[in-house]
Amino acid sequence: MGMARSGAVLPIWTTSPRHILGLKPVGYEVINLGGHEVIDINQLIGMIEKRVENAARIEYLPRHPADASVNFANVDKARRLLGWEPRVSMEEGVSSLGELVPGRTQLGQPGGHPVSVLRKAWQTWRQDRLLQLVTRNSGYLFSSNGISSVITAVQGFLAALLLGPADFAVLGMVITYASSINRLLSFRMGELVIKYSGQYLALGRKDQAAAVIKPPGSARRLLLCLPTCCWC
Amino acid sequence: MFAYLLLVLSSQLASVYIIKDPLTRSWINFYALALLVNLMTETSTAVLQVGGHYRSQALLNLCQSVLTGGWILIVFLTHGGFTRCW
Repeated sequence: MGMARSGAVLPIWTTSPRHILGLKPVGYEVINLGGHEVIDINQLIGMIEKRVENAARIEYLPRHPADASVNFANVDKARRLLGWEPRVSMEEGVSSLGELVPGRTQLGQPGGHPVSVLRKAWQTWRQDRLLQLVTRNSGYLFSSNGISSVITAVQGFLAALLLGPADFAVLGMVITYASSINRLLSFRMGELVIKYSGQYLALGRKDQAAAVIKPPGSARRLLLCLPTCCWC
Repeated sequence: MFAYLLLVLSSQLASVYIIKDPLTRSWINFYALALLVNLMTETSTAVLQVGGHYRSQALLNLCQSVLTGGWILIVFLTHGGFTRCW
């Protein structure tokens, strides 16, 4: 089902962009566009099976009361107003299904050679700048976190050796207690900054983005100026 | 801020009733200070991410880990302790 710019609802069975090539401005009119063939659903499934070279798993259920027993488009109005004639057969439409979605041209080749699948994935990655950016940035953070995890494990091991079981257990309890309190009262201000200032930056409203960042930053600067005499 | 204040206020009770070692009160307060500093880190990290400076963030994380790890390694090699580096 597609929605035309004029507001017309198009029952598109042979889903091809070529169906709408004949549109021209005629004001607001509801116009049926459709193929000139009437086929049943089993024929359609057969065509798709042929297209994807794979058998469908069909489960027959009782007919829904709202289902129309026959459905075909009367294109007389389209002929009259637009001079439109269907030119794509159902067979051709089903064959071109893979052309509808960019990057999905391998439709019907589920058992494609792994090398060709990898090549397509590589091409997709090379063409998608956003995906490249996400991969690269994730790589930076993943590498950093991976190395940090190893260093943390080693330093934990060294600390355990250095302190002995009793002192290491005390250190663990201190850290666990403080971390629990911190998690309990954490307001995740970083997420607020990312969400709202990111939105404003995307809209080019830098002043408002800065206004989101400043209050948490200022509050924290103030907190850092609190006397550290509480220690001890 | 609330976490910091709660930690400082509850350090005496926690050290006595939870950890059962009154001497650990100062360590809870010290760790609370570290958490307070970390709050600034949270905003800074968010600003770096919003600005797309992921590499800088990764480098800073790495530097932090190397610094901490190096510090502990030095303490280990010099047979330091909880309060004494060498």
